Amino acid sequence: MRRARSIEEALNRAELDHRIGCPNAELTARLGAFILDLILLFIMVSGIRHITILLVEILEPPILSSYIFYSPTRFLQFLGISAALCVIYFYLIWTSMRFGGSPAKLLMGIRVIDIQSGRWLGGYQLFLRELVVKPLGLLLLIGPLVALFRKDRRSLQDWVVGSAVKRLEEET
Amino acid sequence: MILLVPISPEVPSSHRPKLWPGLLLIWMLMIVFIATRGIVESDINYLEDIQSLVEEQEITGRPESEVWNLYLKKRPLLKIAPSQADWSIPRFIFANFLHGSLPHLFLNLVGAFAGARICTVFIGFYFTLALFVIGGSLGLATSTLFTSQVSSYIPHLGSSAGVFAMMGTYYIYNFHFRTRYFFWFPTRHGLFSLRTSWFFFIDVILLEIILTAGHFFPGKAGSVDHLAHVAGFASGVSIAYAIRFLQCWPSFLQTKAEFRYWKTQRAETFFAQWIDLLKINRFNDQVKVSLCDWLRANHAQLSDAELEETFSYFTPTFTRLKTREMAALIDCLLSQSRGLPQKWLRRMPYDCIIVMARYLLSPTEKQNILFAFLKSYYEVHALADTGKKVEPLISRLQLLLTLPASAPAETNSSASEDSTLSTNTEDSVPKKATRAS
Repeated sequence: MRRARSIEEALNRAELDHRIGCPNAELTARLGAFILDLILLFIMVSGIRHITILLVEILEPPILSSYIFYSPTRFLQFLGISAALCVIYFYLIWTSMRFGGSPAKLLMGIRVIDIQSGRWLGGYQLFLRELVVKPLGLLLLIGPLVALFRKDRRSLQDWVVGSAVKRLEEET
Repeated sequence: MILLVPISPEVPSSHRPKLWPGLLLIWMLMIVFIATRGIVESDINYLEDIQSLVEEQEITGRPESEVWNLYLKKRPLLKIAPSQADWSIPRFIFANFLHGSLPHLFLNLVGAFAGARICTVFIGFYFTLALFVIGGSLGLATSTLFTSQVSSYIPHLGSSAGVFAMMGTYYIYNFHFRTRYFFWFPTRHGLFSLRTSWFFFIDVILLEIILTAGHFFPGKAGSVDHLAHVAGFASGVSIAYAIRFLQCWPSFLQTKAEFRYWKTQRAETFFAQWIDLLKINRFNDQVKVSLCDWLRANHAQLSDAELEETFSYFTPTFTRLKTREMAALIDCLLSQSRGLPQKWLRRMPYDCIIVMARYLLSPTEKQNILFAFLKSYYEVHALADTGKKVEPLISRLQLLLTLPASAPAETNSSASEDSTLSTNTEDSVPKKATRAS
């Protein structure tokens, strides 16, 4: 344990130690957060899709059609993919870096922490966790099975990146 | 809204909505559905006949043409539902109770049940029903008359405009407080409490506003009447504003019972008024914040027992949401050598204590207050697991407080990576996302 030199650092250390000591989140809470995340993401992407279609409707005649290589389909695809990537980044990566979890996890009162330090995960860890290992684990059904059979309930993506999902806030 | 269903404002169980307003409203909708089923089915058959005429090429031309309108204006459903070219006020009113299919009915029953329940916490059932009818009619009328449609003989029906009117009314009445939501999932009994001002807006109306844009392009509208939803919501908001203005309802009061107390039975002293309000509704954070501010100036007037009773209303959730106010109160009490209530310290979770402690970091003079605060907490939890967590922090602070204030603080660069950990200045204490926001 390194020696804290300032009160602020002492409080930071205490908070991080507290997070590590908090109980692991229940599997039902994690599953509920996952389902809610999918629903919320779908709604957001759906809304953005509607907006991009309408934008092309409005902008096409006066502005876009003057471009020689303009193709409505390609432009829509480009807009759609860009918007989807932005949504995925802000929803899954940025919120977890800033607040410790996606919006659904925050609603469920659970957070994802680095199991060694107690901090929220960094961008690289989150990218690996949310966009690589978790989808692969779900496709191969390994991810949920790992969580079911481990005593600490850490799933495959947690084991790979060194994270844990904790219930941080108690109400007494 | 169908995914996270608002079921109640966050109020004590005695003030929670009753079942019967919602049941009564959905019973009315089901009765009308059964009674008008014949007309709806004859309308469907009529449209199928038109479709077969189109396939046999006995009707030609685009759907917007007059040829089509000659057939469409004779639709059976237009006897009881309005359309852009054929409407009347009684039909706008009656359309609130009509539905075209079982799925349409079921989705609106969920919304109507939720809307009637949550509105009747603040206004009676008859007011709620009037709001449903008036707001719904205004929403349907706006959508019918102002959207671009393929044909001007498309009937508009459904209770969703009325449902959104009830949601708009609830939004105004519960704006400063929290709403309990039901999520179709068996964790935490499927219930969450979230702030009405922003989450209700996002959950209920934001997507509707976005999707409404499609109504202004012919052929892009789809079968869901988003403009009616938005117009219904706006009608509900306007009517609620008007009612509250006429009632002279103060913004810090949430429930009908509090409003009745405030108007008729208010106690003489400021402290007694606030405590009485909290006895009626212990979830009212607006009153708690006022009480915090009052206590900072007047805590000397209270006995230890009264202070203990007051602190019993400052729950962990309130502490997480109003940390600045709580920290200021604790600072004031400890600076004037007034001890903190032990029962309150005992029920506070450690994360709340750390969050409050950050507000006592600066200026330097407050650091002794910070230590006294943490020491009080430790003494109450010394024998428990929490005490073992607090002990290292107390030891570190004891050591640090013996150092001169001007001693350089060595900061580890990795300590600033996590953006939820604070910096030294009070103004830049970050807002942490909390569950019950």
